Amino acid sequence: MFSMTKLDLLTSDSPGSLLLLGNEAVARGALEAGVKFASTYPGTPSSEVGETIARFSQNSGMYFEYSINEKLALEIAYGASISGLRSLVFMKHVGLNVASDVLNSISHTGVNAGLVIMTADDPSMYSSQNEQDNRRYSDLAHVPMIEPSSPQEAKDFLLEAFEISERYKVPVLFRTTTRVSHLRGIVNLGPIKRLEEKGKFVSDHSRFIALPSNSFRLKDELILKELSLEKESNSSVLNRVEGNGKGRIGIITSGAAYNVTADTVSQFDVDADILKIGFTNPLPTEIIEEFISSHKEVAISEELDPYLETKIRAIAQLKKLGSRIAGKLDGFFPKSHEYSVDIVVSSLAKAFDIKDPTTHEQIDSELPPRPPVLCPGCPHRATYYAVRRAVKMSGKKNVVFSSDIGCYSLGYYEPFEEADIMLEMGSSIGVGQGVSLATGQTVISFIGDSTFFHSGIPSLINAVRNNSRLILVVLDNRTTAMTGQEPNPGVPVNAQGNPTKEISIEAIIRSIGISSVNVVDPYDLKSMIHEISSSLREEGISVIIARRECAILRDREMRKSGVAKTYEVDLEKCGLCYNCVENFACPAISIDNGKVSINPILCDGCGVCSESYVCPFNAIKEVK
Amino acid sequence: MQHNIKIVGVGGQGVVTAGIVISEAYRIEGTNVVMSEIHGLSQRGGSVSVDIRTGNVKSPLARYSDIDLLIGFEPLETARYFPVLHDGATVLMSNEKLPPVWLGIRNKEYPDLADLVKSTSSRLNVIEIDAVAMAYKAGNYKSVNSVLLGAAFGLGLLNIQKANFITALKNILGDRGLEINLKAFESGINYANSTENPANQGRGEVNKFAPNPS
Ligand code: SF4
Ligand code: SF4
Repeated sequence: MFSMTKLDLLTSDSPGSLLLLGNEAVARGALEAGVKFASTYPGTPSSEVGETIARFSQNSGMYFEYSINEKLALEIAYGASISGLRSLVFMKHVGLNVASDVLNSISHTGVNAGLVIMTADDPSMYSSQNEQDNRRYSDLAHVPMIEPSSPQEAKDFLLEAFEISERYKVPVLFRTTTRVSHLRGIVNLGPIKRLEEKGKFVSDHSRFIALPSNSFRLKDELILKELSLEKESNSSVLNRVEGNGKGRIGIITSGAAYNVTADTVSQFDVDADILKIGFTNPLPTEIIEEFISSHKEVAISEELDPYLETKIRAIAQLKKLGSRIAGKLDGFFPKSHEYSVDIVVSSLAKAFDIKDPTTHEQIDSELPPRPPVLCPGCPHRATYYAVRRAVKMSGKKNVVFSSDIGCYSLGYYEPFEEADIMLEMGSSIGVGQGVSLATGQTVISFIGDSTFFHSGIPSLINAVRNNSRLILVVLDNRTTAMTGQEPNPGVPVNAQGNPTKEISIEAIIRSIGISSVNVVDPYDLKSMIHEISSSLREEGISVIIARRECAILRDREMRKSGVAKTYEVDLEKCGLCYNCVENFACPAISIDNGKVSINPILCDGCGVCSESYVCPFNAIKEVK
Repeated sequence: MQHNIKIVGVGGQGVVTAGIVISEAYRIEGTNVVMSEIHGLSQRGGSVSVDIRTGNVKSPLARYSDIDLLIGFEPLETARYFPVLHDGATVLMSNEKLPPVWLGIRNKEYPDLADLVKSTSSRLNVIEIDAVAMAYKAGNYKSVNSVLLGAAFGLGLLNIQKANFITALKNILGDRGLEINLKAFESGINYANSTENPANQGRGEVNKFAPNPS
């Protein structure tokens, strides 16, 4: 969301240092690695990589696209890699679930030019539906994995990842977490690499045809590659020991956990050496063996799963090392959520009988909270308001709201509470269908425009084929809003802002045999309520496309054109019913000394609150 | 030297930009700096907090109760974080109230924070500032973050040379609106040195770079 570094500096070939976000550093790394091809489906915490590359790709001779989904993004990049172009794909952790089908096959076929797959995991789930440790994918697919800890490493390690990918002809997993991707720090730049721009595909059936006969052999080759990669890991500069080697404790760590672990050691003067692993699959077994042998007591400090720990315990067992190892499996370190200095120091204290200096206080909860909200002027607010009104008017009980992933997930919160189920990208239609078939209850599914293209289309076809009863509201705000307003197939521009074909959501829906499809402007509450009310009376599948541009995009336009509207409350007319604050809940409207007021800075000028469906007293007017 | 800073406010107020300017200024100073920005699910209107640390550190997250300086763009958001500051630390707080919709939905009003601020003042140096009025005076609302940065600098709360701070403002904000932002920055400095500032009224010495008690 916040790519701030100026483009000319970011793409400059002169040495120096810049303050970069981890994700911006990855984008810069792509330039330094000579990446010619990049693709993604936007997802926090990886989005700024795409946002940054989108700004310079055109002038840097790099192809870049926002693909429909992560599976596509990886397939496209793989195609470019086997045609000889260095390719970078990036996604959030759950994106790799979608792309894992591809990953687990291309690990066998291997690649030609370097192919690096960045997965940005989200420990503590700052912006995700689940917590998952994608390091597991490197084992599942038998591909090497690199883990940076800082923006500097995010850039430098990426270059190394490409070298490894190319040397071993294998895709490389590049794993960050929120605290690395969204860490801003000083990055020393390196030279920009300029490689051949056009690829050439040379057919090689023995590799690129994944038929059982080939894959049988390729699997063995992959296992052999793993053995050579282990040697590579043992001599890799990405793994290093910090300290004089004589510390009482030896701590093995990687990624963001390294940062808090190193800070713990220095802040509390812990008598410890640190083995920081950057090449986390295959592990540098010899380095680990030596490190464990030279420390009687070893701790493993890693976030989420005991990934390093299980392997390190296996190494200790195989090599018959007698040191004591403390980690998650013996209950000293937590198995979920991100680590902090407080967590690491108290885990070490527990494990090694040191006095725990932490107090574990919580911040004050007496004060009113500020849960996430839809922006002032957000078209989704109007949609949710209208749906709530229409459902209430219909008198229908037991209506089930099946929501999906995007800004509109916030419809779950008060006062709308229009989400009973919310799972993963595209699930609103599929899960809603299951509930509808199982219960006969009325189901209203919500899906965003970008999510509809990502994975909603097959679900809707499935619903048609199986005669489901479903009301689908497509919240079409003409962008992928939550991750930073990236264009999607429903708009006539591409990542670089150049014109391209716009794909009509309504045409797709009609083409699969759904006849009840209505496009409505959500700002027009009367029509919205009317359309939803009639859908509630219909059988079969009915679709309402609530189409209105995201308020943030519209703001950008308005700022350019210089017109900015605001609304105000006429206190003479206001009947103090408080409907606007209690049920519409625009952040610009609040109660001040019993009176309703609109903050002119926050007001986006959408005017929806002035409609009689929100203000029955017609007390809200445009400021002239 | 190690310095732990937290900047908090509401999405859309320019909290992250303020953090980037401070971090960029430290980079120009030649001081190691790390910053973390977490903005949750909302684009605008949710709580935003930025953590910055300088010196020999790797993680941008200080320990609980280890923050030296809190810059708050909104009183409620600022008050929420009082407990994360150590004794004697400083809070610079803009008085622009943005009531969360959570209150409106319950037909409640913005809480009176005066007592909380008063009781906290025995432990922390809380400096309130009408940053929005000063931003308007400088040219527009958007420069409110430059006012706060100017005030923080003027109060001696940041170990940055003025010239480097100004270069950072230029590097990050670009040419658009720079003049207004520089004016806003200066007005923040003037406020810090004026008698309006409670710190200059003997209500308590502002603890510059309040050293960490631990
Ligand atoms: S909806 Fe209209 S009448 Fe009711 S409180 Fe709001 S402004 Fe006043
Ligand atoms: S016009 Fe009304 S609903 Fe729209 S942003 Fe302004 S206050 Fe909010």
